[in-house]
Amino acid sequence: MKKYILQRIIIAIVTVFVVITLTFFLMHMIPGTPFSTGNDNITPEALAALEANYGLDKPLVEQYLIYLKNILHGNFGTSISFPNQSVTDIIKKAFPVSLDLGLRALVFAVFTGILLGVGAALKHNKGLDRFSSVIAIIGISVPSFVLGTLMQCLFGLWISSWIKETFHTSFQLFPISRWESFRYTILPTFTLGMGSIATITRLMRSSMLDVIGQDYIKTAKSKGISNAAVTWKHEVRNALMPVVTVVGRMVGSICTGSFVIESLFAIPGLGKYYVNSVSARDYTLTMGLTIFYSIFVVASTLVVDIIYCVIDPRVRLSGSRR
Amino acid sequence: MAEKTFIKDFTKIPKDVKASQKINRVSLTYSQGVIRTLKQNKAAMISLGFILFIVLVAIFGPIFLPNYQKTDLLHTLEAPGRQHWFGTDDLGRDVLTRLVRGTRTSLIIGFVAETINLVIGTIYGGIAGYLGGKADILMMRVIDVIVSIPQMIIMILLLTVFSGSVGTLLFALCLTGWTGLARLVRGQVLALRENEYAMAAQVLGASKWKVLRTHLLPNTIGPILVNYTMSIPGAIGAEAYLSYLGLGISIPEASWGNLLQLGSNQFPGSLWLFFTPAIVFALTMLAFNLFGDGLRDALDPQMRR
Repeated sequence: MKKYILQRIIIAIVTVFVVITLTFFLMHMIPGTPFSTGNDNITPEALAALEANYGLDKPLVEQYLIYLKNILHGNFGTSISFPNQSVTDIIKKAFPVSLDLGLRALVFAVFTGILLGVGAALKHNKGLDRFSSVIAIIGISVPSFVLGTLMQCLFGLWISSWIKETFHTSFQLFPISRWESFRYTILPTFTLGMGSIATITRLMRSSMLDVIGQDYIKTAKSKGISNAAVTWKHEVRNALMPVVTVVGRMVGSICTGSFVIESLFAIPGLGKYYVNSVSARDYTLTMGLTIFYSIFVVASTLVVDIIYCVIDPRVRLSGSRR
Repeated sequence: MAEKTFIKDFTKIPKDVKASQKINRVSLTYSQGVIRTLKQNKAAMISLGFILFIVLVAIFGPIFLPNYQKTDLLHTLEAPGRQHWFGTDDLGRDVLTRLVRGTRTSLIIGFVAETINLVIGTIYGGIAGYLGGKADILMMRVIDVIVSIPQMIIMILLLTVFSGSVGTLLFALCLTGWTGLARLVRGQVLALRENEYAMAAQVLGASKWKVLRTHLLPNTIGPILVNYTMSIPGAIGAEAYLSYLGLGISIPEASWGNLLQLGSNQFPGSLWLFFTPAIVFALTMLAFNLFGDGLRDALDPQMRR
């Protein structure tokens, strides 16, 4: 087990290193400096001063080493479009919002997905099974930004305006933008979680069907254990194993999935900054956030892998096979 | 009385050795069995029909409706009618024409990206699985690293650095997309490598390359085909996602992604702008997934009757 964990940690470190290197050299392939804006009324001296300020006058390899050193110290550089704000400040300010949204979506998706999957497997080929496959199909075939737009209109505009007219209030049941109280979080959480629900439901269903057919379930039943206990203690617990790994992988997709959701619902999270930095050509911010996201995703996958290894003895035994 | 009816019901049939040896069931080869099972799966067949229809539209549609960039400022945001079946957009461009053109762009991205991934993944995985030992471990570690990189972030980065064209999108999709197939092929080859027929071929003097090409790869084709079918909607979806963020194919070119983006910007004022691409897009994703499911069931000998 130690060997496996050590191996995973080494891979994670190499991955982060590859991402930093790739990001750095790719971003420096863009012609010109961030300050050459086209209609230049900037004097050569000022340009040189600016470049010296940001360390852009040094050779590329030296810049790379400095950048690497700074990242090790948690310094991702200074944003260009938000002057006087370091990338670290922006991360500190905006990441909690994204994390909040991501965790809500993840928890929502995991619980709904597991319940739907268990229900579908228990009522195999009946109403609930059909319902959960419809959910899975919607989750797979409708992209999140389409679903989000639909949700905004259906709940945010039509149903909320109906409520306003019928009850003569100005109360907006489902606000379609910003991130303030619980009401604001419902639509984005639902939209972001939907894609993951589909994956979890499908996996949980097939995993449950697999477990239900096992001999130890027959043994448990013949010992006279009640149906509920067999279902929850024997079947669900064993069927959960594959889901745990998928949840780890899901952190990445929820992170990148929230880029669109945050833009769509005007949530002041890190994803919105990331997308804006790309369109505003704020290269230091794009670079810093790319590296930050990669480190976050790699680290959370690593943690889940280690947890999985601790709870499932089979992984430990097969060691480096995975 | 009772005894008589009993005897009447059970008359002895003379033993016929030849008849008992006769095989009534028509003998099917593997591929014939697959096709037969697939034909019995209605959802998969309807999906296949829809995929073929979409492919035909992508190939021949733009020939009949070529003017996808033609603007008409006198007829902007017109609702669907006799003149424009699916209405017009904010600059008076015909939505049907752009949808047909976008179908071509999106399908090209989906098919070409996944075909390149298929080739790279099969070669890489095949070599790793066949060589085994240290080379295999090293090659798999490289894949572990690539898989750990969040794919969408790398794509966004590439599209920031290079311009958002079909070529860049294909490059971005292929840079990380082949790893899943490589792992799959390698696993299959490892499982098959120890088989007697591969050994027999080697004993008979076939070269390593020939064993790989004529014995091992054909046997891994089933799962690869399923993976290929299932990953095409992934590539199409990634294009849509990136175009929606303003990074992919940009207007005046047409793709499903930027049609959807335009549609959501005009939502809920001009519903047709949103719903036509959304429905076509969702149906296509659905069709590829259902067909992939059907194909997997059909290729699995245990699922077949």
